[in-house]
Amino acid sequence: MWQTRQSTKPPRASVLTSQGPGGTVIRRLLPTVVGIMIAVAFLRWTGAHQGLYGDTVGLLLMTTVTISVITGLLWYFAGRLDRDDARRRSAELQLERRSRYFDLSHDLVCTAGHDGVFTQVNAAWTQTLGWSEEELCSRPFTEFVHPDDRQTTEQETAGLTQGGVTVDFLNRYATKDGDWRWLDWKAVAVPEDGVIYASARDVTARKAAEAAEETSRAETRQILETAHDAFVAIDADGMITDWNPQAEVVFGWSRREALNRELAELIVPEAQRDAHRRGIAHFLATGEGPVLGQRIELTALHRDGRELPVELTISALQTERGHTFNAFLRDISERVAANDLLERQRRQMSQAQGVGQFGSWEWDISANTTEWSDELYRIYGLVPDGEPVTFEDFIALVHPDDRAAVQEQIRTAYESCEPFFFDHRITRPDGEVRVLQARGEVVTGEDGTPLRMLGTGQDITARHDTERAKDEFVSIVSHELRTPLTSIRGSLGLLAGGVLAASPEKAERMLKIAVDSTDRLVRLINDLLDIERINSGTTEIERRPCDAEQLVQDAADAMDAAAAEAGVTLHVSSARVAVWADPDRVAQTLTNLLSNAIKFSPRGGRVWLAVEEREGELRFSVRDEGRGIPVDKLELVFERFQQVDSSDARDKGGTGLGLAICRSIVEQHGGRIWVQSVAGLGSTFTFTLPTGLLGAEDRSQPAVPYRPRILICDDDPGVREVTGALLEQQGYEVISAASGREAITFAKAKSPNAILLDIFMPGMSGWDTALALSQSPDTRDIPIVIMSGLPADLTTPSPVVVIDWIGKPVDEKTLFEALDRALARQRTIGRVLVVEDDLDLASVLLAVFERHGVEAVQARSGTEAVALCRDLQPDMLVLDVGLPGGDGFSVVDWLRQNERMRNVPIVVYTARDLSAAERRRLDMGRTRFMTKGTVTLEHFERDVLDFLGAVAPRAEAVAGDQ
Amino acid sequence: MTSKCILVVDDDDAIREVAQTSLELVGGHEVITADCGCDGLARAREDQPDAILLDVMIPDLDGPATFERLQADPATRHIPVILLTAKLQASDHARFAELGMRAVLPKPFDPITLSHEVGQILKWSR
Repeated sequence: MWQTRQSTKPPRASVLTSQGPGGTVIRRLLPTVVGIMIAVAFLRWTGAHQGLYGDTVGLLLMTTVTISVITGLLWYFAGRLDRDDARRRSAELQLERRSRYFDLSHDLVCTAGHDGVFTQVNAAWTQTLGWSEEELCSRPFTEFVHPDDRQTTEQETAGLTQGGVTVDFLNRYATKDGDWRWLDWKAVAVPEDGVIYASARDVTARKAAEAAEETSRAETRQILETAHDAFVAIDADGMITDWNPQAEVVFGWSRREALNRELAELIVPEAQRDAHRRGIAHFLATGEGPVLGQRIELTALHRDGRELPVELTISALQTERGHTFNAFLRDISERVAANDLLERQRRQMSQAQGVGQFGSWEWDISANTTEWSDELYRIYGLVPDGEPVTFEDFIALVHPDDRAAVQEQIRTAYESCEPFFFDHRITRPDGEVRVLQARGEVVTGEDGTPLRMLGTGQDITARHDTERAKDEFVSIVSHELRTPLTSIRGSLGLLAGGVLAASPEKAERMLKIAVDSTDRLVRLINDLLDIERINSGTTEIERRPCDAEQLVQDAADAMDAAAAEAGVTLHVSSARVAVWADPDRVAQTLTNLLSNAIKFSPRGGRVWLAVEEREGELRFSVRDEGRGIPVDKLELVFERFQQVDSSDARDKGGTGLGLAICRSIVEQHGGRIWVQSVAGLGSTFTFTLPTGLLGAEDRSQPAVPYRPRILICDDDPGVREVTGALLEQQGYEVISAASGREAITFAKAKSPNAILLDIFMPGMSGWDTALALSQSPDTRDIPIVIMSGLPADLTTPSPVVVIDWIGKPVDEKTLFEALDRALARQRTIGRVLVVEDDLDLASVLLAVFERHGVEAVQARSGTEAVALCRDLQPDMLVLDVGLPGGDGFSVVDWLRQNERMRNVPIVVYTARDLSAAERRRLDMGRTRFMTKGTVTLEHFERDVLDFLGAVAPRAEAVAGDQ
Repeated sequence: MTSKCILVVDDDDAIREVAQTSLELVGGHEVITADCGCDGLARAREDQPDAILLDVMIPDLDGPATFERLQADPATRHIPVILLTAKLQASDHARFAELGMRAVLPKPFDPITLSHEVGQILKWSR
């Protein structure tokens, strides 16, 4: 019955059900009204109250109308009531909602009048500033504004009131507790209403943040400006975006020049630019930056084009603006240079250690770590791999017998803090034993406790061995010397003690023993000195052109007697080869070898001496049929004092040094010596000498050559020239005479050693010349060789000594043979001058000569010698160098100047050793050197007479020929 | 001094002769000789001398080795041995002393006093 009509107003529920006041009224009143109506109706129906309504229909109608009207009216008013209520409620709700939002907002929302006073402020105002709403609305708002901002605020407000809009306006508002807060305003005014609507945001935090950021940026800036390192920043394109002052210094570009240039162009060396760009691209593409964030070293480019080593760290940053790369760079040229220097020094030190064969070590006592240099590892036979060596490792390498001593030394050093220095042996891992010289020092702290120990170890094995060998040598030598001394002492002691008075034979035995032992001692000492001198180079080997055949022959001749005595036959084969050697020394070697061969040969045995040229060297070999040398001693025999059997030396009178001397001599000549042997069958000793007349470095002055002077007399200039040239080529000195008369003059003046005389000459013939020569005492002894086209006519008795007759044209071979013969028999040795101040010795020497029928005269001083030379013109001199009043040297000097005496043969027989220079001074070509003491008298006799024989035939022989 | 039999072992003929002459003529002793270690051992065994003068540097067996053999052999153990040596080193002397010789005499020796010294060392009464 009741129909509700949905109004177009916002959904409204039926009044009946609405919660509003209308609903309440309807729900309360309507039932009441309907109740009353029904009651009335009932009463009417039940009571027969007539009256008002008439009949039932009318009643019903009346009732319905009344009810409807009342209901309708009720409904309407209820509805209106409800609607109003709802509207009011809605408005209230909206107001409440707005109010809620109003207060909910963080922002400071407000309204203000044009009078500059807040009319409304939301809760945020109180929350933010602390003022209550009343406080805020009670005064002009500018009073809350910061004094510095008031003017702008007023201006802004004025603008608003004129219809403007405010956006992003900042000012500061005071807080109740005396602080300030920044507010960012949006405001709009409705001038007609006289209201300003505004909203402000508290941006204090933001402002603070901004300020902090600004400070931070400024600080960063300052750091970069003052940094020691160069700072460079680039963007994703590689363009420079930042460049600090240090970068200017390091790279030479100013900031202005650098900014916005490509980094690669500026400071990356050309060769690396591509790599640089690719690196950036790669990172941007993949995010992989292997070099980022770590210290790397690169080469950069300075503005002036030179490259410099830099150390840098790069970091990448991604900002809103894109990627940037920052780098701190440092010019490390100095450091690199210092490192290089250090490395070089370290290497030098290492090399020095290598050369000096010493290693160094350091022991940090508190940390108990040791550090060894590479060389030290090597010395100990370890690999220098830096593996730390502990004290235990070290001790394990020390030779077991020396361990206790080494530990003791180190302990003592540690306790006393004194330096130490001692030798010890080590055993390398491979078993080899070496000797080390260890030195060390202790470094103490201020309080005297040992902090570190450092030291060196030097491999002195070689030196040690040498010293030991030397000690042993000294021991052996002293023993060897004492042995003959024992015999001498013993024999002479017995003699002196008178014990042997009764036994003359025994006495004679003892004397002989004394003499023999003395000889042995002398030989020993000489050999020792000899070998020492040869080895130490004090004696220069004087090399000169020699003939191998001559050397060999001389040696064989010298040994003839000894061989005969031993019943050994000597077989000699040689070759005429020139060799640059010291003839005396080579002779010594050959004699030594021959002597050994003869010694060890059985009676009736044979010894071969041979020379052969092989492969550019000359091989001398001595072969015997003796008992041979065992294989293990083949090398050893050349050592000093080594004998195959120790009994040999004593029996055979050797010194044990012979072969060692041979080796020294041979090696000094640049040759080699070795022995081959079969035990029981014999041995062959071979040594080599380099052939050739001149050794590579041995161009020391050749000895004064003996240049015989030949006078050629021939009227034919051609003959003179050709023959002269021929002679000069062979080392002769040539004087030419064109006539007999000239020849005589020259012969008198120049004393040639021989004359080549032509027969057929105009004026004085050859015969006449020869006759004239024979009549002058100055020239009568000069041998003459006739050159003639005529056949030899020696049957004609000639008054002159004609040695030979050679035909013309002169055949070379014949010529030289004739000359040789002539020179060999140049003069007789009739007279020898002995220059010796020791009377005893002089008398001995004189006796020697006398015994052989040679007249001998003595001079006691140099001056006397010179005088006698002038007067007597001796045919030979025996000269003692150490003379009073003008020593031997000046005698020789004088002789050299003298025309007649310049070629006189000399035997220099002297007590002291002569240096090479001295020998040169005394060498006049035909000079023999003999040392007193080295040479026994018999030896002297034999030698000198050989020399005499070589120089000239004996007087009797010559006389016999004639 | 009563006459004793002394064995001289030395490889050097001259020294042997001198020593022999000295001991015979001055000391009045009987002297036998040997020139190497082996010979020395043989003579010692056979002839049983009253003393042995032993050189150090001899062929085959050297002095000390010979001495060891002499000591090892009961037949010769009792014979006193005096070492003759030209070796000077103190270390050598010490070594020899350790071996147990009666004495070490240096070379050269005084031939006149040799017998007397030997007698003193071996305490032979006059």
